[in-house]
Amino acid sequence: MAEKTINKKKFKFTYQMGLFVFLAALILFFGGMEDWIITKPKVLFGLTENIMEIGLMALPMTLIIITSGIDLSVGSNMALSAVVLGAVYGATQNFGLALACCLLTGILAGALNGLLIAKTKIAPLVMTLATMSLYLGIAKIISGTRIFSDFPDGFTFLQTSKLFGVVPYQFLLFIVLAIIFWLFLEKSSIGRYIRGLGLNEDAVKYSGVKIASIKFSLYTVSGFICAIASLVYLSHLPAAKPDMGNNLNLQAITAVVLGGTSIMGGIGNMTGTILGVLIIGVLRKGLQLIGLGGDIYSFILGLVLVICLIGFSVFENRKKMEL
Amino acid sequence: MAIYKKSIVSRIFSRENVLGLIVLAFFIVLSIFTNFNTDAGLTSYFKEAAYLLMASAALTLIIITGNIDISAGTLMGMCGYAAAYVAKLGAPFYLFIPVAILTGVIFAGINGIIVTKFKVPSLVATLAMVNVHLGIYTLLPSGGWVENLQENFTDLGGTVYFGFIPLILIISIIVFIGIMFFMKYSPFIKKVYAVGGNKDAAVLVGVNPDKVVMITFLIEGLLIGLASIFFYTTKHIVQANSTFGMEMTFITAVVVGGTSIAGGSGKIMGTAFGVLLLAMIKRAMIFFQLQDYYSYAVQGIIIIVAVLITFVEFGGKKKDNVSFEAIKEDKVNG
Repeated sequence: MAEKTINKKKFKFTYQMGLFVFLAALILFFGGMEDWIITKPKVLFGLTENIMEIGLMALPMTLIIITSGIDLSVGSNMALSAVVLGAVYGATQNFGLALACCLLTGILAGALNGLLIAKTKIAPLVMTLATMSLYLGIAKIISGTRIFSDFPDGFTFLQTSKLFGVVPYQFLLFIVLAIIFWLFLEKSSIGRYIRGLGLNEDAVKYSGVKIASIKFSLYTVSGFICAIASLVYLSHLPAAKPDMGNNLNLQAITAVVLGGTSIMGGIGNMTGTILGVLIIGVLRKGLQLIGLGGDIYSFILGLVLVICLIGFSVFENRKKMEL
Repeated sequence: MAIYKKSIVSRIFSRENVLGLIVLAFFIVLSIFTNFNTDAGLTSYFKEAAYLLMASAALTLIIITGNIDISAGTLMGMCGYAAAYVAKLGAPFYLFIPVAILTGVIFAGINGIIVTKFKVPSLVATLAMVNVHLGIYTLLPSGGWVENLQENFTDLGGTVYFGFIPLILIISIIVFIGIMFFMKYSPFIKKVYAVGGNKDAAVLVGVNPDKVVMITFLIEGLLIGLASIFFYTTKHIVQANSTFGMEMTFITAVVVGGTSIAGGSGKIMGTAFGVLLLAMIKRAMIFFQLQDYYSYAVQGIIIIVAVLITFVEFGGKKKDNVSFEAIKEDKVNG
């Protein structure tokens, strides 16, 4: 078993080196196109704006996908949290209360996912498909036709203010959370169990691990992160409406899968996800910079994802043959 | 499945029968309290059911093989655009229908190739294809819109017999009966269930799973092409990205119909009742003057209830499967 893990690590390194080279090439390419923005760190970090909410949601998503689960409800959950924040603040003008309600909503929504998935063993794909509709519906019922854009001054500090005038706080938040998740996955015993869940759930169960509580906590954490992602989203686009999370679930999954996490579970790590998020961010912003914004981005993103998936599966099949 | 002898009670209360009863109950309630039972109400209901029936049948086949197609919604928009583009140039129905079907088969074939040849899990492969489709829309002339469609296109969706039976529903039902016969008598369908139920066992008895999955994807493309015709010919404007996200409705219908998302089990009749129920709930929302946004919440609750029922129904059986797989895995690993 120990040898196997080492082999895997070797392989993942290769794929992620490829990703890293790809990311560097992208930055150089777009930098070269537009006056060498790479020499201006402010612009370089600006490449990551508008992508951080996806990045945040991709972090717990990585853990969930490693357990061979999936959470399709993240986008709706984020929209629901944002709408609750907007509605409560609009009604009470008390930001502390609104923030608490927002975070609580995210946690409760995630906990419902976790409860249903951990207790019933129903495929997470179906369960979160259902709660995706459910949360979107609740958000729509709360907001009706209103769009909540009334937020206190200084609320946008995550986006506007920057550490040393260079690094946006939302990027810092992402990096800090990413490190926490990385430590959790790589260095804690629960991280080992999470890997095990994806590889062989029964083996983990028979070794006396409380699978249900691990799954429940993972989906709850995912819900909590969704609430935080809604704050990040609102900080650069202060308009809470139900459809703001549409398609974000697909983008978060794209980031995770791009990073080399296998959708079948068991294989993957945080470094890959961070690279995946950065590649998506740079691609999106870079295409905008050279005047190819909008949906051409999704076409290129789709192509990149297909090529990466094929590359990854070719690598993996070769590895299997070697074993 | 056949090993487990079912009691008479559970046979009577099979999922298809229960769903059928629910649909009937809904129908009666709606007819009494609303104007659902009028020509206009029934026509719009049947038009809704016509395309949902085709698309959900397609997804049922895919899901039985243990795969999934997230790109079904955007694929439908692609087919509809191709058909409308040709129809705008003056093509009659016997030209634009094959064009839609061909588009569906080609793009579903691409999905199939990525899934079978490159061994990419279907969930992520089709997820990527959603992005590709959305991108292709923007490359299309006029952003994937075709406006001012003439009678040669809209006649098909507009034709209604006896005041409440649309032509597209009749075609849809005929095709659906064809699928039912196919599901019952074709030797191919046994392979589909075998691949979804236990891929390794299927290989051992001489089934080529890649070939089966590929053919299933091609059939799906054909049916999605038909669904796009049924969906768009009722409109004068074709907007390719209007079907984005619709795959969730298709999957809902399949899941409500009792098909296991893990593959290997499911009946096409269940899907049909799932479609009837979903379309009826959608109409009910309108008749009770609930805003459209309630339908999302209701749809979510329906899926949760449906899968919970499935879980209670098959709870014991699933456990057996799991332990069997555990034994198998242990053997492979050891």
